[in-house]
Amino acid sequence: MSVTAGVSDTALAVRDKLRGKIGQTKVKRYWPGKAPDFPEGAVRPERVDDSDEDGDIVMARADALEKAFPSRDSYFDVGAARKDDPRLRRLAESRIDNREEVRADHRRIRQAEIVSTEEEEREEHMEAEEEDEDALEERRRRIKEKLRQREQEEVALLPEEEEEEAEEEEEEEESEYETDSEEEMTGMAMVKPVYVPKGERDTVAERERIEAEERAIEEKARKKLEERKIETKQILVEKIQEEEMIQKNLEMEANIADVDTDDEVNEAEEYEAWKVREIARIKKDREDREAMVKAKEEIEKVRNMTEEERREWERRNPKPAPPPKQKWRFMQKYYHKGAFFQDQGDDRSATAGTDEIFKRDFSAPTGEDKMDKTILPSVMQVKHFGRSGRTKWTHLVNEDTTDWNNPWTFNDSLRSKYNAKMAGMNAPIAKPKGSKKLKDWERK
Amino acid sequence: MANPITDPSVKSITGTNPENLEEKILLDKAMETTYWKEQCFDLTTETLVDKAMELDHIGGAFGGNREPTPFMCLLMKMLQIQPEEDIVVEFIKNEHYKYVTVLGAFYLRLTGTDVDVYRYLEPLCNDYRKLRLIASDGSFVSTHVDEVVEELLESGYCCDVALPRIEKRWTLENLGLLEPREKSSVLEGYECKEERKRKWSKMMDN
Repeated sequence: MSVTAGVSDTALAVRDKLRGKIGQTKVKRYWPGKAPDFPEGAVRPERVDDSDEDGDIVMARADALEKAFPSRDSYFDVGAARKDDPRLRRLAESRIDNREEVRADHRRIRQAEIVSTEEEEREEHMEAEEEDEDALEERRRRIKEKLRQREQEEVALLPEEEEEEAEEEEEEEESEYETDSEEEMTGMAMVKPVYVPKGERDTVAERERIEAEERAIEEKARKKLEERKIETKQILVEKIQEEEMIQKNLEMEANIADVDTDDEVNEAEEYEAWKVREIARIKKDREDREAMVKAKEEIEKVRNMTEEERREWERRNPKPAPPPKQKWRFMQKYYHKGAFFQDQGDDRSATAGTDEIFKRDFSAPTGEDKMDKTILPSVMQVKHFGRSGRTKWTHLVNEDTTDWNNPWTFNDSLRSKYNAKMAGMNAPIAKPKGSKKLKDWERK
Repeated sequence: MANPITDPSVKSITGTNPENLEEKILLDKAMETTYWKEQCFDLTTETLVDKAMELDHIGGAFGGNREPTPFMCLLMKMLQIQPEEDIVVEFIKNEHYKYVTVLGAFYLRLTGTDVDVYRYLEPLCNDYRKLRLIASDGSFVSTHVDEVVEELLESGYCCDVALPRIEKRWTLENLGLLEPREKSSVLEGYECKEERKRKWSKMMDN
């Protein structure tokens, strides 16, 4: 690998150019057909063979390119590869006799042209008859007859058109074939006149296509107009909004003047107003302090009380009784109140406090709970009836699935005898009375 | 600091970038205003004073778009450049320009310690100069310096800016960091009144 593997080619080229290694490439204009200026040392083409001319020019050009831009990849010979390119070789060796004709053919514009009208066709038809050889004449006669027949039948019967068209197609094909061969032989443009019905005429189709295009263009123009309209409307709306804003700002300017902040005016009044405010502030401050002091004192007092005093005090100032608990309904859903924002903030400047909604009774039935679930069949007495994977576990006795019809579980006299003999079934278990010794201990 | 505009040598206040003291949305909006872009771009403390002297109203965000006022923009600029305390105190103590006073007071409330806040803002409670306040709907309202200062001290929210928490005066007094409020004439008058009231009620009880 060469050292320059990581650097881009362009970078290298630029570097070399700057260092003067590569001369400035002057690209000469290319004229088709004109022999290019070959640099010195290039192999001039030998004008020996007409057919070789093209190939050699190609080769010479390749050489020139090689000289101007020496290839970089040194580990395989690209120069040789170019010459060995099978395509170039093929081009050089190709022997098309009439290259000019082929080129002319390439350049011929292919578009629909009116091949023939009915009258022309008939005329040509006559002409063709005269000039052809016998074999072709016969064919033509046949076709002519068919044509005539068709013309007669056309007037009479319409639905037979399909057959006619099929015939015509065949004939057209034949005629085209014939016309082609004609061209070859005579060199004059002789087109076999065949009637083309309206539906198959290229010219008509083309006209329609052109019309369709025009319509499409009109549509586009109309759409553009509409879009323009919408755009202008939007611009209008924006402009109006801007103007409103400007209006507002102007009003604002006016408002500034409204509010008079001149301090000299009504000094005495101002002072009075301030005094009122100040007193209010002081009052508030005082109250806050007193409340705080009071709360602290009370806490201290209660802490220092003895038991009896405490009881008395509690009796006198009972704690606010919790709201009486409501009895919940059958299968009532439990909603948690939430742990935050339950109390009013202590601070006057607190920003978070309780909301009215927390004062509601949270054990009241809501929505689904209002329906009495006991009347439902036991299958439906479940939370989220209809969902999979939910079972309502009631209690052990309810969930008991023992089959009481079994002989060994059947409750009859035999069973009861057995039960009586089992431990713990006879007398109720007595609770321990407690020893005397222990009792004395307590009393002491 | 996260915001490249803020001076990297700036101290952090309450543990965060001082710019975070204002709400992000308000901050972004203020930086978008023409006032900011035209005039606030390379302000230093001195030039900021000139701008502050030109103020003629205070307020937070107004209008349907919640556009910040120039007052807000200057406040944010101050937060960015962080002038020293002496300068801020100078702002507050100046006699001629009330809006400069308010600006300084606001800045101190945001960035100063509890003791400083009480010490410098309380004298302003005696200042009853009128101010123009722009309400949230864009209309102008008349207010006073002492009202604004009261809001700064008592409530936690002023001019659409959430103020950092400071201790109650009571707590600071108990800690011995502050002296109780000096008795102004009004206070004395009030106390006299209270005394009389109490005596009267006592007499009535008896």
